[in-house]
Amino acid sequence: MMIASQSQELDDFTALYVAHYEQLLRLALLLVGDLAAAEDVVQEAFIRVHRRLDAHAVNMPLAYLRQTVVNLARSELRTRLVRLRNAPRPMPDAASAEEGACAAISRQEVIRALRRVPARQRQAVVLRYWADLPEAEIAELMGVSVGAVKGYISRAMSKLGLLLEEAP
Amino acid sequence: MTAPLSPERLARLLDDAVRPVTARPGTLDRIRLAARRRRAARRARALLLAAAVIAGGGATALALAPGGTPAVVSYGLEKTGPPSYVGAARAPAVSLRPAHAPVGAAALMLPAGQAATAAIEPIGDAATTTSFLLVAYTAGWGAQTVAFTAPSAAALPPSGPTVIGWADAAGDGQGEIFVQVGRGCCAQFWIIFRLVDGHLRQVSLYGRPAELAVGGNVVTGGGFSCEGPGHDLVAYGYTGENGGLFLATRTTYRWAGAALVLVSRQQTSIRAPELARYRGVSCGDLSP
Repeated sequence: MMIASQSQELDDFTALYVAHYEQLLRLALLLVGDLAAAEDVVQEAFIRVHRRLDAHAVNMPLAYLRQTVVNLARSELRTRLVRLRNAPRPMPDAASAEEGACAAISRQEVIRALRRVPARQRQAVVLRYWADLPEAEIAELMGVSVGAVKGYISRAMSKLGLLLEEAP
Repeated sequence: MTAPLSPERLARLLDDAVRPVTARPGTLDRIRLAARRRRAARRARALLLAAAVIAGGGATALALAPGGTPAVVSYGLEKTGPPSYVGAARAPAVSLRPAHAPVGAAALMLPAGQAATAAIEPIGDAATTTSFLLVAYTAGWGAQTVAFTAPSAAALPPSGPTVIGWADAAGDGQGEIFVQVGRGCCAQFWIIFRLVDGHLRQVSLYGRPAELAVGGNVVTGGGFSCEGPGHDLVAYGYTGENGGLFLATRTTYRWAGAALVLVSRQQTSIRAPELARYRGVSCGDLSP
């Protein structure tokens, strides 16, 4: 009985992973601007949802995952400078083809431009125009008012417009 | 003046930028493994808390939960010679067993005032896996995890690998964790974990997981002692019968980090009344 229950949970978890992992990874990449950090963020979110599923403590796993990714991305951005200063990520001896692809993604103009937009504005604009979420839902996700979300998006669009115009 | 960035253009740029991003192979397995590790660590900490509550303030307890299974089910470290061990009493240890501890959990009070707890988690399907994770937590070590493999699912104890207990076998004050990973009709098979350079490691012999045979019958059996000179680990064993005589072996191993190194081996012939001396355990409070 217990084994059957565990299998069901694992199946649910696998389905959740297959359906949403890559989209959440892309969202995290846009929020943190670095694929390795994005993977850390999304994997951490899935580890947390695994526990919640285990305890039958989550009704809307996708909403929980998205919220966790946004929160972890914000936290990642806050602590990035400190982490880089204190514990730099060791460089591999030789870059693999996969790493090369990651670097290429990180070099994309829009990703570089997003990195230069303040974190809250970046979250708002990515959630609005890439994740296609309504402003009310973004406001709930970010814990701010709808008016604040509109302000973030407006300022982000202005700044991105300038940055992308300047880009070679 | 620059042309305003349209939402449609931004959406397209963002989509183009991240569309090539895909999951790395093995990500799902890594997530599952990490989730299991954390669950095991949480259980271990819960056990520790329960043991500490039972012990009262200031007490330090070792709680060991059941779980995984080790690899290599050959017969012990090797059948070895006679013991003549003296049941030297180590520091007083009180056995604790929290009422809500998982099946197979064991909790021990450590003599040196260290708090410790350990749990074993299956990796994969609990009903068939031979891969397990030992998660240990002590005040001195912090949380430690080490994966190990059982030689055969069929040889596992009914409740899976079982933590037998803790003993300061190497005499360094850190303590070693003994885990039962196999069971025959009359003998048990134990593996050992110890802290080396701040990391919990499985103890090896000749590059393979070291395994101790404990107990036996009238044909073959084994045991060990960790109370010899210099805290060497002495494994005993006997086998066969030839005209009422058994071949008994006494093998001495020395601790070298996460390995045991052969020091000496002696063989002798004994008779049936002496067999019991070759299948006991004399190592702190460990007992089959």
